Amino acid sequence: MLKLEGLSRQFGGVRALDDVTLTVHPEQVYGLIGPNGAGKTTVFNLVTGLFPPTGGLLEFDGRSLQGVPPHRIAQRGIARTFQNIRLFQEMTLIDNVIVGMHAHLPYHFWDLLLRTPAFREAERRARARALQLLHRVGLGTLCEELAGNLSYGNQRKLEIARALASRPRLLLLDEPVAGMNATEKNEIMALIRSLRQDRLTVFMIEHDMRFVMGLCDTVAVLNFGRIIAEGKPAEIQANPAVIEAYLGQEEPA
Amino acid sequence: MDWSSWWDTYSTLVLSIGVYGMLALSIYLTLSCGLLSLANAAFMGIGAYMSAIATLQFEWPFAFALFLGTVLPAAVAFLIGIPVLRLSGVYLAMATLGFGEVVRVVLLNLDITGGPLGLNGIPPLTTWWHVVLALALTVALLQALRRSRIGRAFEAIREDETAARLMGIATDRIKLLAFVLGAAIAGLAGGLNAHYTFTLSPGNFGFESAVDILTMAVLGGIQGVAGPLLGGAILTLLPELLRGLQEFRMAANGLILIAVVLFMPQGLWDPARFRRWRRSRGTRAEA
Repeated sequence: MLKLEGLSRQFGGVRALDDVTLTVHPEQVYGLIGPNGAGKTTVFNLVTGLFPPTGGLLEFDGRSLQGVPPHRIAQRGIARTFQNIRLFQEMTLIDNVIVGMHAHLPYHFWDLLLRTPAFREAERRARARALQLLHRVGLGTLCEELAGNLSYGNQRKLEIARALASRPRLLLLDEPVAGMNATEKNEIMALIRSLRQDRLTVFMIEHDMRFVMGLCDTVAVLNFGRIIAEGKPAEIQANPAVIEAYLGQEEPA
Repeated sequence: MDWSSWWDTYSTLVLSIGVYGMLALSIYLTLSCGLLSLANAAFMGIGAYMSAIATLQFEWPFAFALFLGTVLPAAVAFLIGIPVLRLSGVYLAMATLGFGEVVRVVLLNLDITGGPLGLNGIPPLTTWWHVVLALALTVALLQALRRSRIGRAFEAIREDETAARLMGIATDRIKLLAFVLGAAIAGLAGGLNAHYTFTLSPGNFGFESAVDILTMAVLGGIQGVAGPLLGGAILTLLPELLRGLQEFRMAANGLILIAVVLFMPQGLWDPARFRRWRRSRGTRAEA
């Protein structure tokens, strides 16, 4: 579904990503882990078109993503959340979610000027669906609250609801449970499981190992811009290169 | 004082409240999309000159002249918007201010605009209901946009452009739309203005009026359409009420802007503050 081949990205003289190759298959939950600064978020930024790769191939559903502007990539079915939450703070929860549906509101300029039935119907449906999505992430009762007033954990949930609003086929989650307490983590875990049952493909970056190991089918480890291991969670946990990357090399006796 | 003599004395002032309200709304539109554009005075000038030339020199009907005065600035905005809207924040403000200067110099040097003398003897065709109708249409347009996917896109872009793009919003097109619509509204206001002031000169549409228009929107507040209308009305009436301070009008505007930014950063019309007031009065009443 999503294919990265020999992908690299340089910032000035710094190689943020170097020859990254990985494939996310449909209906998979794919995890990307690695120490801080390894380049994980850069992978997401390249996939969503925020900046172009300096080398390599990027394909979604067999079509190249090179040179495609971010809003078109979003319209093709890739949605994401952000490590440093980027909600529309001064908008209500429900409006945040409806913004996510922007490309799916099928009315024209004159429809909205004249408030035609097509316009009213589309807006009514959007609200109804937004409310549904908010209930799904457990924020239904707060729908008229401003996003900026939410707790940290709830903001992360709202970001997921907003991403789902665009009806993505691939959902990129950048540290979805960072800063959450154990209860909230379990809620997000249950949510991702239910998304998978809806046949959504999930590609996530996460530091919480219990979370990654409990959810992902495949895990890749990124260290200093390179993939050092890829495989099933159990294999990754036993991989000496991974242990070394996280814990440092054992001193020879 | 009877009605007709009152109207003779104050009609220009009353019409100006409406026209400046429209100008304040035109900059409110771009501000609501996160664009600090100071080109609206120039677009007003283009609209004013275009429609005045149409009625004065070609003797075309007033409605058609106003139409041209709306469409030409919009077309110009479309052309310059494509390169200029790549900029944001103060860089956009600088570029649009520069554009305003270019327009002023062009108006100053063309023959058809009357050069430095400007245009005189423009037929006084604007009546109160023209202004009311134009203002009502502008308010209706802005309200319709606000409660639609386009209005939400404006707000999303203002709050976080990157996030908006990643939600599938074609931010470049939406920003261009705000810019072009703002220019059209300013141009229409200019056309109406030209036909009750009798004369036009390039100096009317320079830096000073660009700042005036911004002041109106910031003073009134940009949380809704009521704010810019209020700001436009206050800044139109204020110089009349403070006639003695006429020469200090710019200084007064500046001081007001500073005071408002310091004490009422959201402007005079701020629904959130009104709610807070109501709430605090409510709790006091209970106690």
